[in-house]
Amino acid sequence: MEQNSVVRFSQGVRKAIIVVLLAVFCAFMLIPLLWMVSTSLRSPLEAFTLPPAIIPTTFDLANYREVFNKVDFFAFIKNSLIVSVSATALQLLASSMAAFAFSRLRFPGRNVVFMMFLAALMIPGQVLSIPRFIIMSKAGLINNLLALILPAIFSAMSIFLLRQFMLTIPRSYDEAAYMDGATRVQCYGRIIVPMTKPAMMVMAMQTFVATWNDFYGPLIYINSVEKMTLPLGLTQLNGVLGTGNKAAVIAGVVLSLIPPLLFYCFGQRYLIEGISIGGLK
Amino acid sequence: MLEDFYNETGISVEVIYVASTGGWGGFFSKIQTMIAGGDAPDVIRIAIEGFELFLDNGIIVPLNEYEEKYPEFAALVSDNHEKLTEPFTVDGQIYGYGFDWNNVVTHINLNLLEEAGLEMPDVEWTTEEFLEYAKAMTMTREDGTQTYGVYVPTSYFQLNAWLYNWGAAILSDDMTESVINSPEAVEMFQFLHDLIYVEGVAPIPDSATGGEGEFMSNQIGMIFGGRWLLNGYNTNGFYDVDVAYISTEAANQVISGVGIFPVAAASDKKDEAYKLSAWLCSADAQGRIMENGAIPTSTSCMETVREAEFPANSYIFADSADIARSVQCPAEYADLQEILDRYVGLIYADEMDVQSALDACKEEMDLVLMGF
Amino acid sequence: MAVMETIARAQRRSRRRETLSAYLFLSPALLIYLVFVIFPLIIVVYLMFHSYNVITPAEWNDYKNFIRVGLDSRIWTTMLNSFKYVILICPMHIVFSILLALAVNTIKNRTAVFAVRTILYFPTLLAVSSVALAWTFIFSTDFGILNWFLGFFGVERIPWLKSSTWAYVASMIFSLWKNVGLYFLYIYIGLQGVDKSVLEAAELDGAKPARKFFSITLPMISPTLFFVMITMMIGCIQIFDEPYILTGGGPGDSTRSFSQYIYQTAFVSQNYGYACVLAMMMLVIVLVITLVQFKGSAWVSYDRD
Repeated sequence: MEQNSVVRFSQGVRKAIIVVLLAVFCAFMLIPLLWMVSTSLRSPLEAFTLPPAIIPTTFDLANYREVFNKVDFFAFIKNSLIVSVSATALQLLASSMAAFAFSRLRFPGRNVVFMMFLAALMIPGQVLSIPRFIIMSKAGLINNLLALILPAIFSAMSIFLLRQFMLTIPRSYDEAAYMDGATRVQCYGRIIVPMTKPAMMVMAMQTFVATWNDFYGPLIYINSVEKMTLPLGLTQLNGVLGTGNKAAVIAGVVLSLIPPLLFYCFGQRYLIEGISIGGLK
Repeated sequence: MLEDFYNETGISVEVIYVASTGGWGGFFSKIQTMIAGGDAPDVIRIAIEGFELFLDNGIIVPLNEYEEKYPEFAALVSDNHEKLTEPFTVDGQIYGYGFDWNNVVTHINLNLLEEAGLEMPDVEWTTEEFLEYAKAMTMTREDGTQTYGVYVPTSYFQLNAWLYNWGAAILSDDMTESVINSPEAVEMFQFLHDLIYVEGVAPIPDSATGGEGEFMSNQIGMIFGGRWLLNGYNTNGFYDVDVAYISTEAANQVISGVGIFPVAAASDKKDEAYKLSAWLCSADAQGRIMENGAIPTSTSCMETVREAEFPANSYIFADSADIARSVQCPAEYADLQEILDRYVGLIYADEMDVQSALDACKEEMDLVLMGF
Repeated sequence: MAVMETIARAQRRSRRRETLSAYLFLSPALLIYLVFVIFPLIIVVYLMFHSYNVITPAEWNDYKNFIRVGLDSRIWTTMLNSFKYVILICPMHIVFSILLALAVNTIKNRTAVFAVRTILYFPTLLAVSSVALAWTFIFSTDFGILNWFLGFFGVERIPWLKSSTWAYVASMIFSLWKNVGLYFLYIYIGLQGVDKSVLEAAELDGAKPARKFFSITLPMISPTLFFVMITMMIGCIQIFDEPYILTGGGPGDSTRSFSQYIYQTAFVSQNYGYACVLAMMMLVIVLVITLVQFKGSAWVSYDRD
């Protein structure tokens, strides 16, 4: 009896310690973000002073107004959405199909092709940019959003992640499906993909964010203001020789965070849904 | 503005925008990839920093032939300051007209000056005076915040400007070898190093805004830059600033970096490109972009800068054209800049003594200049 | 005999059909891979043997790029720096992401879980370029938030970004902030797949938390962990953002990573051919490390037949 309460007590202490440590860590994660938000709400002259303002004290929307007045924010949002949504959707499709082949099917060259895919992660991206630019310009895709979408369809990272998750799904599921006369496409679409939803969602978020934030690609491939995606478009706020209003730049950054954040909140549902499926088995 | 050009000449122009992030390096790689892809523009905007590189690689063409063909366009640039066009004339061939230029002077925060109980110095002043000012403007305020007299120069352009004033330079006059370890240069870098570590009047230069942010929030007394800094002052509504030359050690000499619009060799519309290039550099066109923080090259436009009310000593921007010396930018400029940056970083971090850092710097620069 | 042969033929046919459908499943990814990875890579290999400054046409240069590798001491300095980053950053991420995932997993309140998960993941949503300004302001020696804060505890000003030792600490702090959320999420998702009933059974048997973790949880999340370790290693050895935005590689070369050096060689020095050789060196090194990790992956347990 007594021993039991000691156990319960020590468990309670452990729990309290965990909560406190988590809270401290969350504070560490939040402070730079809060500083960015509060900076975006201050006059530029106050932005870089000590003591720093972590909590926003003034709510001066001038910097946000400047973002909308100076650049065509909504056009950039539209271009970014086109690129990010299509790249994410196409990449998920291509990657989950490839991952299905790697984890569920036996075929000659499986390991070689997989390692070759993986090797794509190991080449410094900037070095490929010049040959890629040459290919794009020969294909007439310069200043075209397709130049940003097409290369993003292949992602060794997402193929690898999905393969790892598919490998944890017991074989008995597919065997049962094949017994029932399912084709491979049905097995892929009805069994495997739904069971890897959380991983797919994480990957979708990653891809969405990566394409959303990509600066280097648009810098090289996009030539006109109308075709610019958000990160490139926002550099116009930097002004000539980088002397623009830094606080307005940060305001632009804060605004540009909204779509990925919405995407993340929407994706949370699927993370939880995936958990309940995991609980079923 | 380009609409006016279209109305006057019937030539329509498509502008390619290159993001300003990444500095000139980012700009070059963009232009380079475009050229590699066979997709180069007809008229390119470059500054002196990229001129020799483009010239060496045959990217740009001389304009003499077109000057004769279209004298009415050549006349557009007739009142541009001679000294500023000089760097673009090679072996009698002219490659571009100056569009705008910039220099490096001392910007002084008037609020800190007042706090320190000082008056504006003469525009021409000595190193000793400069040090006095830097010391006086280094204070610990009542609320515990610390101010610093000066933010040391860090960029190639700023350091080149300082070196000229100390009777030194980065490269020899024919730009075939580095002279960065000359006794005068060593003395200057030691002086700058000591501002941080001995005198304690300068912060370690690692500010997110290159010192400008702290300057405008009254935490730094003096920074070095050209007229381009006015952009930042204007957007931030900061007007408590005046300018003086960089303090004179050996000679009062001002650096110049000029921007031009050369015509691309790959262009198949060179005649139109020439007209645009000359038109953009005309006094008329320059007059319309005065607020962009550069100094015009046209002598008539320079008058406007001379009379500008802010900052009070604006006239030195215009006057310095007569004593200007171009920044040293051979075709290997990008490499030299990277090397200088690396060794100056070591000096400012106090991780290498000045003499050996500059010796090593010279050695590396010479290797690059020899084409290794 | 005939029956045996028919079965064998049927097996062969079904194997051929499996191969065919496997490649059909692979085809979209494979096509993009060939066009945007392999084809550019062939150009890179070609340029390894040439002088190419991107402006003028490539010129054969008698293996000069390879000779230069032997003379260039900056390769070894920067490569060593990259390994330093790997040794400092990778274990930190593994430990933190597992601890965070386990900790969050003990929380029952759904709203709290949602909040913590969002806070941890949030920095990964930001573009590195957009947080650079905030972090250089935090780390600045004389005007930075961190030193200002440490000043209350009597800590002398630390030159976070201007010292060849402290800069690594600054990189670790930044990397933890920017990237741990992603690794945390991977492990967290992996933990969701762990069979709760097995854990409960172990608890009834009186297993200690540490034992439960090492003998049940760890094997069950090992495929995820393996993925995290491989991709983190590949990413970390090519580390670019941290030194690029925080220190620019300085002072001197003390924090410059190999990737940064490759980038500079290609785009600052315009020595693209040589940069291709360096990139190939990088590829080989990472490939070897990854292959070793795959060979040593017996600890990863999959449900295989």
